Amino acid sequence: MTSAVNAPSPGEKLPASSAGPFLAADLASYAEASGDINPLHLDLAFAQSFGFSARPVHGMRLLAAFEPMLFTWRPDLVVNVLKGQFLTPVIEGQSAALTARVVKVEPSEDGFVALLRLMAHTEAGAPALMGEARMSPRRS
Amino acid sequence: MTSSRSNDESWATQRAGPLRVTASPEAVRRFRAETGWGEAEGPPPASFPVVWMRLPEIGEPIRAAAQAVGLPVHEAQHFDYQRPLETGGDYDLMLELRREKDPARLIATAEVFDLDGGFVARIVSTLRLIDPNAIPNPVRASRS
Repeated sequence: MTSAVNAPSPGEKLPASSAGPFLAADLASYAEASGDINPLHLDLAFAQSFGFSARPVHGMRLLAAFEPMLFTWRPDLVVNVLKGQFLTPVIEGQSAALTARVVKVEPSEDGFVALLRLMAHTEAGAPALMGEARMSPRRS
Repeated sequence: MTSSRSNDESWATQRAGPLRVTASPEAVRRFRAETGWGEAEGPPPASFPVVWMRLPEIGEPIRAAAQAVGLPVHEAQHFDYQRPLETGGDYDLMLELRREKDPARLIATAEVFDLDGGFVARIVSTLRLIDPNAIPNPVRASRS
């Protein structure tokens, strides 16, 4: 099947974005919506007992933050694969910088599939998340 | 629903399912609102299935492993879709929980099917289990 949707170009960078700052209330609110009530993200004393200076942001909250960024970039594409490895935690009160770029575009039955590299960094510049998305034209 | 363990005392693999899950409009709205979507109304994001981890059949084994070994810390996450979820859709989820020892990890693999048995998605959550006693921590030491 041939797609009428224009394929992105390898090397294309998405406009940089950010997520946060994440306050304690944001962590609690995300925990409520997602069901991830791990006390590490909600209980300051508990987080400190594991060596954190403050509550760490849920890793999934960071990975999920890429989806509106991807949709804003190309609303005509759909995310088929989304994955991430959680590295340095983003700490309560801080933001994360989100970047993404197209690394490969391959033909597929939907026309094409674009592979994107995703990166999130802490305010100190440490890698917080390294991930990948695969996107293809939205099926009608 | 069926559930099985490879070994009751020190299981390495545990399976459950089918578990009925749904992408309810309210849950989708809340999840979108909390994850940075400008419009709360819209289809379920690819990352939406994390909300299904609140199901006791999924959450309890994780909590049990955490009690036995240590704190579960999310290490990696993978969503792979054959087709997107639909708001309001009901699905059957087959779950496999696998424990690894060195380092201690819990790997949850969920396969999602529509009610006609069609494959929709595969989701893999990797949780590192951290032994709190293995963490040098002046805070904890000062409290003990």
